Amino acid sequence: MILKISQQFLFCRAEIKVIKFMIIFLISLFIAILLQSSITTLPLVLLIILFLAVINRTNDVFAVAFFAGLLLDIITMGRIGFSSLFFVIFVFLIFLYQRKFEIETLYFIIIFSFAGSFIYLFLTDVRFVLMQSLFSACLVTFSFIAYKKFNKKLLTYA
Amino acid sequence: MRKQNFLPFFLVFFGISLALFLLGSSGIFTNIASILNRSFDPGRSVVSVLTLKSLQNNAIKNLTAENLKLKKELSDEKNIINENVALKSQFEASGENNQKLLPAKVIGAPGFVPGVTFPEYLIIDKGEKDEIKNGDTIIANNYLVGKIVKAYPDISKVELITNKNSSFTAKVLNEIDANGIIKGEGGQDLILDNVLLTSTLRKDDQVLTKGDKNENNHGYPPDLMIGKIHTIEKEQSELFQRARIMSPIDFKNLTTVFVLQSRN
Repeated sequence: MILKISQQFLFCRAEIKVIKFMIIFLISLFIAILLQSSITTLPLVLLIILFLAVINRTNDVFAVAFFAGLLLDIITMGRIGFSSLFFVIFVFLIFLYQRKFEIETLYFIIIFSFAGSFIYLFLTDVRFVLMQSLFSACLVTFSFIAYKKFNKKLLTYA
Repeated sequence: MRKQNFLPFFLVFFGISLALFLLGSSGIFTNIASILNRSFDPGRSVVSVLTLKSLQNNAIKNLTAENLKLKKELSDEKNIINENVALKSQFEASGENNQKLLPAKVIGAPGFVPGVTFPEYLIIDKGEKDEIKNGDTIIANNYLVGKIVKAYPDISKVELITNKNSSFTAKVLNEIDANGIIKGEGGQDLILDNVLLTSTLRKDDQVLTKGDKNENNHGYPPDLMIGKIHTIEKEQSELFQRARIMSPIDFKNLTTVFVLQSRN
C-alpha cells in the first residue's frame, strides 16, 4: 500500500515537472514568435524547437513544430506553410539522427543549430546569414549549457 | 519513450504542411491569416516599443532637434503649397491630381539586431481595407521608402528600396542623359548602375525616380526623391559608370510613412 502511494506520488511529481516544462516552453515559443515577427530576423522559434526536440524527444514535438511554424508564417506574413514544413523536416532529421547517435551533446547542438539556422535564413532571404547563424548557434549553446547546469543542480538537490 | 516510431507523425504533419504551403500560394488563406495577424498586433506593438524605445533613446534627442527644424521647414512649405494652390485655381490649371497620400504607422521592422542593423522589410498598419494594393509606393518626407509587396485587409508588408531584390529606373536631376537603375544593397547605400559613360554625374546631385508604371498602374511614379550621389565609380574600360546614392531616410527608425495611392 505504502509502495503504491509513494509510486503514485512520484508519478504525480514527474507529471507536474513535465507540465511545468511544457508551459515554460510554450511561453518561450510565444515570446520568440512575437520577437521574430516584430524586431529580429534571428530564427528564435527554430532554436526553441531544436531545444525541445533534444530534451523532450517525443512525437509531440512534430505538432509543436507544425503549429509554431504556422503561427510564425501568419504573423510574419510569410508564405503559409513554409516554416511549418521546414520545422517538421528539421525535427524529422533530428529524430533520424538520434536513432544512431546521442543528440543531447554540445557538438550536436552547435552543428544542428548552425546548419538549421543557416538554411532557414538562406531560404527566407535575409541578410547576414552567416553571422546570424553563428549568433544563433552561440545562443542555443549557452542556453543548453545553462539548462544542463540547472538540471544537474536540481538532481543534486533531489 | 525514446523508441517511439515517429515516421507516421512526421508524414502526417509533413503532408499537412506541404498542402498548406501549396495552397497558400493561391492566396486562399489571406483573410484568415489577416484576422489572426491583426489579433497579434497589441503584443507585437508592446515588444517593439519595449525593445526599440530603449535602443533609440540616444536618437530621440537628435530627432527632437531635427523635428523642430523640420516643423519650420514644413510651415514654409505649407505657405508655398497654399500659394501654389491659389495660383493653380487662378489659372484654372487642370493639373494631374490622381494620387492621394495615406499616413501609416510602422508596426514592425524585423532586422538582425533590432534598431541597429537595417530592417529587411516594414510592416505598416494599413491594408486592403484602406484601399492599399500591391505595388503602391511608400514615401516619407517626400523621399522614396519602398513599395507594398503584400497587402492584407488590415496590414501590409513593405519592401524597402534598400532591399537586395529592389531595382527600378532613376534619373539624375538636371542631367538629361543621366538615367540608370537603382539597386538595393541591403544597407543604407543604394547603387545607381547602368549610367552611360557620357553622362555627367556629380557628387551631391539629386537622384529621382524616372517612373516605371505599367498598364496596371503598378510601379514607382516619376520625380520622387531617392537621395544624393555620394561617390562615383567611373572607369573608361567599363561600359557604364555607377554611383553610390545616400538616402536621407533613416530606415531603422521610421515610425510613420505615407502610402501614395493611385486613384483609378
